Amino acid sequence: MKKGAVKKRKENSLSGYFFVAPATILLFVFIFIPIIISIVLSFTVYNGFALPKWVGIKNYQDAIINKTFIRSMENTIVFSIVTVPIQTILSLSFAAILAAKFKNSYGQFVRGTMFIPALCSAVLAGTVFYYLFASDSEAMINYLLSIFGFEKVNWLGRKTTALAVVCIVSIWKNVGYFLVMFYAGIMEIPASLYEASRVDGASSMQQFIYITIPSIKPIIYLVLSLSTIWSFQVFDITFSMTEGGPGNATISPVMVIYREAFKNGRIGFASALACILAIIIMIVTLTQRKAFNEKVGVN
Amino acid sequence: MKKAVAFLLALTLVISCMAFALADDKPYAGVSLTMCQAPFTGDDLTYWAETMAKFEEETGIKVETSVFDWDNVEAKYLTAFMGGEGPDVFYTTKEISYSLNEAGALLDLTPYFSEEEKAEQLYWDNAYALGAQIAAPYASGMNFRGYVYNMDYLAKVGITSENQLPETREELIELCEKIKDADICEYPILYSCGGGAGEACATLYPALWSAGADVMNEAGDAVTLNTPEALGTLQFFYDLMHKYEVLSEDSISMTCSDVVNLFNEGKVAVAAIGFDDLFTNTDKDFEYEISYGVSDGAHEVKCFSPLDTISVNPNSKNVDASIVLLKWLLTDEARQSFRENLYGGLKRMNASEGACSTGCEKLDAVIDLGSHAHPFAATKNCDAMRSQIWSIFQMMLMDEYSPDEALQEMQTICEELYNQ
Repeated sequence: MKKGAVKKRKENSLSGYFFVAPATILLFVFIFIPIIISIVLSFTVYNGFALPKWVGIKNYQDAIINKTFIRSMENTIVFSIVTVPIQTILSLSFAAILAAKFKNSYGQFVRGTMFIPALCSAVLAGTVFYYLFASDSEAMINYLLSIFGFEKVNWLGRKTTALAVVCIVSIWKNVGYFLVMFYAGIMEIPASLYEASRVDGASSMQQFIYITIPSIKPIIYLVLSLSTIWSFQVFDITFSMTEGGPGNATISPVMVIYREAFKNGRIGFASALACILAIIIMIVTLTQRKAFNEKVGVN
Repeated sequence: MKKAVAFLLALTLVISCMAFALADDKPYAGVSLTMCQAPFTGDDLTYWAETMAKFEEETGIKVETSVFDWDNVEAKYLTAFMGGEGPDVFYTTKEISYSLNEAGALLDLTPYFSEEEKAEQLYWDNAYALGAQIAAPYASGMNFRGYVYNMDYLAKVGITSENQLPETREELIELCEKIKDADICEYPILYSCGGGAGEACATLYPALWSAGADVMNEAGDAVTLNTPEALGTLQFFYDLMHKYEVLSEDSISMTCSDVVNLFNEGKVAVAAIGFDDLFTNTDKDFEYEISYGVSDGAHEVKCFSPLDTISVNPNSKNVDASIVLLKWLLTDEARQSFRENLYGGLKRMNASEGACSTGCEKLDAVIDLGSHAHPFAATKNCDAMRSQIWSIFQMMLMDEYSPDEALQEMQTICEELYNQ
């Protein structure tokens, strides 16, 4: 009887391994192995054609003093500081308003409409906004400004406004996505909590601050993490709108990695840049997690 | 029964002999090649499908054509070659020749062409680079860059004929100041100072060459950017924007297409553009004239004259068949078909061709650039250098660098790239 139970347990384990094998193989082939190869290549000089040549930590030494990479990190810090709070606050505010006042078909329509930018291609969004923010007086934004008596602005030709426009496009694209997440979280909060607080005389704002926000803290943490990670990975919007220009005003770390790997043929150096970027993202994410005092997988 | 078998054997023998006979006419029958071409009309694939069908009829070689996008063509080619999927025959430019050569993607064509065949190609020697005949000349003079003037505006400040057009930077500045003071148009002068590094060939590089300056020396083994002539060139652009205020800051975000559109809308008095537009869009509501550009007064005006080429992959599935395709593309008939269907501005490329017209009289008068032509030199990391130079140039226009600081930075970065 005991032998039979052990045999059955082994059979169950084996079948479990078979079920997870395809996903595990895909993870190894498309995630883990390329990461390991990239880490190894980061210690070599490799142009994609000749054999890699081992150079130790030289790529990392060059990376930390590379002016373009440093500039891209500065741009990313500014980009994160601007976009992360704004898109979090905007998406949370919209979600709270929709959950409180528009739990009807109109609310569904608004949610669906706001989610559309998240679905559209970032390259398409960048291209469309490039023409909206073009510098001539008949581009849409400058034309609207002229109606109200303002001078036209060279949006994509000045370093401050170019980065600001990229931030606007990124916020536009992400707000709908995070709104859906916040809305789902808010709808999970028991209505009895709000009723009880109403009885105690709490205002809408007090309900929002003392009930809604603490209840959706895990979702806020998730949104902040995701938007921070995405801000470090931005590439397609800046590439399609400004190609990192004017000058290096909107260049991002991923764009630097792309240029070094595929335009300059320095795959080893690009791999080192990618490893440094990954480490920075990990540090930032862990710092955020500590600040939020969240455990992985625990609500 | 025996008769039937004998008849069948005889029939088989006859059919085999016929097959051999047919095969002699098409020695490459059954060979498949891939070709990558540049985009010209937006419907290039249809043209190439029809053209290659005729080629297959003649030679038996089946060719599958793809058309690349000008954006990041180098990265796309290199990625394809890295993955072992590079095309057999492909369109190239001088700017990307170095990296393709490093990738071992360019066959030396010297042993495959006779002296007569080389002499037939008018620009054969121009396609020689990096110590080998790495390509055959395919298209020269395409979209060469120069200056175009709205003569309606120039007439208002006293310039009424092409003989009065500015020839030096000082004359150009004087003209632009007059236009600005007369307040007759939105932009006295426009250069495409935005977009990718390719715009440098319409803006910065011709200005450098017209002052006797260049990024590399003639041998291509030393960076020679840090010269008084180059500094004068950077100072010229800086002053146009910040001292004389005739070059709008809007230009920092403009590509050549943006400048062309604004010129055609009648908003610009003087523009530095590629001349493709002049024969593809003749509907202008004003008189215009063109010139090669302006110099510093001490040197001849130079303008960027692209020489686009066709190369063969040495790792092609069938090098001999690829050479057959290449030679076919260089024939008079193929060139004429190219002109009629893809790009009417193609210059006369073969010695046996008659005179060619772009369809635009003004352009026909200047398209043979002669000594004004200056190609882009294929040197080590030339494209990466151009990218960096362009970024620093834009930062200078945004006042992040003085011209002197910008030049020092360009020199340093170019030396680092060359010594990699």
